[in-house]
Amino acid sequence: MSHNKVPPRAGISRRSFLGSTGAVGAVLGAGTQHASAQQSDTGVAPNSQPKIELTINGKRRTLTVEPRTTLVEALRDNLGLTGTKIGCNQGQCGACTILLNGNRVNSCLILALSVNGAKITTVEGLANPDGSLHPMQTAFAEHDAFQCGYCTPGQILSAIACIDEGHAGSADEIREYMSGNLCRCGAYPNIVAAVEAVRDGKEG
Amino acid sequence: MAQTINTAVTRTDAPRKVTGTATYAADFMPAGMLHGALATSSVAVGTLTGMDISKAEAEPGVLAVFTRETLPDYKSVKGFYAGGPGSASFWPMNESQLRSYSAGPGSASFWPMEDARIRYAGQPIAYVVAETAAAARRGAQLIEATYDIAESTIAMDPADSFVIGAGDDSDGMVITKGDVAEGLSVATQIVDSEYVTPFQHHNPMEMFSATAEWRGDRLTVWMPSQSVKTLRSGIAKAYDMSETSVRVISPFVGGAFGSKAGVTPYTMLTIAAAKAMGAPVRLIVTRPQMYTVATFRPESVQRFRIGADAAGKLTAFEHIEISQTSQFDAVVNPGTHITRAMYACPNIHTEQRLSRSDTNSGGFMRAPNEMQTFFGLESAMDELAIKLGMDPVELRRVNDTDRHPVADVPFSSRSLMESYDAVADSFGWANRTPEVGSMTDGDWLVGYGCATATYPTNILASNARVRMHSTGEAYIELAAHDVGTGTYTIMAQIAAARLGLPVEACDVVMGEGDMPVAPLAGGSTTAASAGSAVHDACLKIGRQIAAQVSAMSEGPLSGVDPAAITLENGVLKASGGQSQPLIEALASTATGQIEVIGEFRHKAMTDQMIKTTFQGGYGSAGPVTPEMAMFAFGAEMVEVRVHRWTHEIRVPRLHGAFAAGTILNRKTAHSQLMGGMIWGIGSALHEVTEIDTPRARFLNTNIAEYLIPVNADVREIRVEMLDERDDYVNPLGVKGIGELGIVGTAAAIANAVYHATGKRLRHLPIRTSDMV
Repeated sequence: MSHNKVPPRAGISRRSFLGSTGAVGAVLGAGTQHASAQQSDTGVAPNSQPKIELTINGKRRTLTVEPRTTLVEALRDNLGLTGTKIGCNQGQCGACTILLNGNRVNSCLILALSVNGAKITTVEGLANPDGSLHPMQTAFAEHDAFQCGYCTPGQILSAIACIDEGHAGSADEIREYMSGNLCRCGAYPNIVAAVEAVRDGKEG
Repeated sequence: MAQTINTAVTRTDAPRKVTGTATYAADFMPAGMLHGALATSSVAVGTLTGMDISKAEAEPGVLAVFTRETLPDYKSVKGFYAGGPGSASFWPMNESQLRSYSAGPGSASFWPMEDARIRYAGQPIAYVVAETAAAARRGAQLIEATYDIAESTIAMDPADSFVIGAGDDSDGMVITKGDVAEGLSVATQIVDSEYVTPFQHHNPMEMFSATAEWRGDRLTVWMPSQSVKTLRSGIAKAYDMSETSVRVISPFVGGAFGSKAGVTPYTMLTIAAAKAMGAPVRLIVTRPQMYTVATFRPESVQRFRIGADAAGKLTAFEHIEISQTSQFDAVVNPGTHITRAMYACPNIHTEQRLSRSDTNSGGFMRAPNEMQTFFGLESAMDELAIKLGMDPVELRRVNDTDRHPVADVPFSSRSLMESYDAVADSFGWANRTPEVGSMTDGDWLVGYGCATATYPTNILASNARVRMHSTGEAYIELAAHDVGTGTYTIMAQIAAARLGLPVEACDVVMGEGDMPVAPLAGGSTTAASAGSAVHDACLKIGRQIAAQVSAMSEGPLSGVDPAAITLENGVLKASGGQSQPLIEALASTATGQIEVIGEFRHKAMTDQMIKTTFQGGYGSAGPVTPEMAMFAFGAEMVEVRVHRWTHEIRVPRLHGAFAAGTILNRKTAHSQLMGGMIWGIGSALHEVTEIDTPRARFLNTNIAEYLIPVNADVREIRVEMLDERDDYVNPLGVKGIGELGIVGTAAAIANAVYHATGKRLRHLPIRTSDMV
């Protein structure tokens, strides 16, 4: 059997897939309440290159970005701050977690242009100027709260926010409120132990 | 100097990992770097009839759209996965077996973008280069391709299966010992069951990437890799360059689990694109594309027929594994080689079969031979224990053996029942009441299950360079890899222990192709093999310095026969009682420093195995040598709770005890075993790559719908590491732990689900819907 057929798109892009296959699209749509980096690429004509100003780890930076540039790609590709990692680029894994005006967010789901003037903390901004580590960094190292280390910058920022938010009352609560940060190596019990240690003032 | 081996040393790379300064491949951005993106086929099988790239070319920021007609100097690396056709295998093969493979296991005999054929969904069809990553991805989306679509099928048909290298050349793919029919005829109880496991994808947190930069006739590639030697030699061979003209850099790897071991089409496309653009190009493969541009764990069917007498002793053991492979490669993960090593039995028959379907080629995924086969074997053993009315632990005890049941050689060490006894203590197995459904807690049905874990000890040739300075530092350099395994730390510990230095004074540099040869980081081999090379280098330093100081006119060892001097914890000691700290002896030499290459070669390694490894392949002398069978063992026990009304399945407790020879670092080893057990929870309850049968493609190609355990899924995990000594495997006595933890977990959970509910689930994953 062989017949000619023109599919809607050559690549399996989520938007084209959802658009062309309604029934399956409804199933896949369950996890797509946020704009993803892939989606944000779509249909934007970056004719202008606006300039924005951010305060990153206490330092003012100005940069020129395409309107479709996500915050994580602005940090990594435009500013060379590669401590923040990309694990999925669609808001599913938490590897790109940063603090935006003190709140933890997935920086792959945010357009850089939309946060002009914001205060941002990345993993590069946690240690003191003398090089001494933030208690959460020390706790992660001591408790072996990672293996490959790729999700670690996001986990650490998420963990700091987890305590600040008051969501570290019990091990159960920490597990729940740290579940937006995936760790494929399976360091979860050690991550919980690290958060508990910092909460109890046992580190740093 | 304090003992550094078998202690809980914090990772030496921890400061870099918690500050964001550990450099993964995609963090390197050479000046002037451009961004690549892949366009992939939306159909599974057919012919590419046309491609409209005009919209992509018109997209702002897009600089070039390369198709198979327009990408110059694009090279394939066919049949080259790890050292050449067939040589990547976990077992030795002769010439006719090599021919019976279309290429080496895991290799690609079909290479995309060489012609118009489409052979699997998600196959690369074009490559876009742009000024930004977003522009490149958008350009790829704007390519419009047309196809002649042919029929395709993604699920394998187990009824249509074959054996590679049949007959006398089957090399263990089919073996028979005794007579299984006879064994079944005398059995009191027989289990005859089939267990089904799904496609799974590795999904490391770090996305696949490749960055290529040409400078004249020299090429640098940054790519996360489990085998920088394989990568370098594959690229050099493809471009007919000397290996020294190709630099491959991969200092940190954000998880691999088998997915980053090869040379892939996206690597070669990026290299060609960088050459064509005259500028460095970086490609970050999207998470959905990761499902089709590398490998996966193939789906499988495990058929077991096991007979036992009234006392539980096995009288017959038959295991037929059928696993999926692509239409163009014969990827074998020989699980029957492992299951037949487990229990004593006079009548054994095993068959390793393959069945083809329309996918990219599968490969190795954490415990590639063991995860799915031990779900089958250890579920079948549980079913047998129930039929016999025996405690499942006692059934394993009755059939424990100190000799390999087929090869008939002794195990170099085997602490299976010691592991069961240890985990039974910590878990409280004695509190289990055997009747199904007899343990409840309110609306929760409680079940206890157990299963055996094992992993073969693979040992490969390795070199390592160690340079020691009299100022008290050592530099250790080798082409090994830290994929989260703690390799940086354990290599420093080994050198520190031998040379008498603090761990932090031992600087380890790894992950580049031109460093001394170390094996592929796969098959739980690095600590045992590369570690033994570091150990050997340190002993060589001791011998060479001893020779120098014994020839000096003064000093504590002056005039002593160097053959009578040994190095112990950083001190040179003569049999006559004289001694001198190594660092002091080194300071008395003219240079004040020494550099040596250490080697690990095992007496069971053939020249061919060593050669294979040195060419970037996998020349393991294990697990069965002419003298010994080398395996690590363990036992896992789990408590499962199934809610009577909502049917949700929970794993509140998972305990494991493991014996794997010397434990180098109790902290990182604990993490590896724990991580493996959490992978086991994933396999049991979460992980499956769903398939779209009409369109022959993977469906849930993202990390939200491909479920992996999250923090809230994991409760109490307890890991016990038993002391075990094994003088045969290697000088360190290390057996490897990277994959041991996952083996058996899925069966233990399935067995506990049965104990709680009376439902015997013979497929993975086990879901709430199975409980209704």
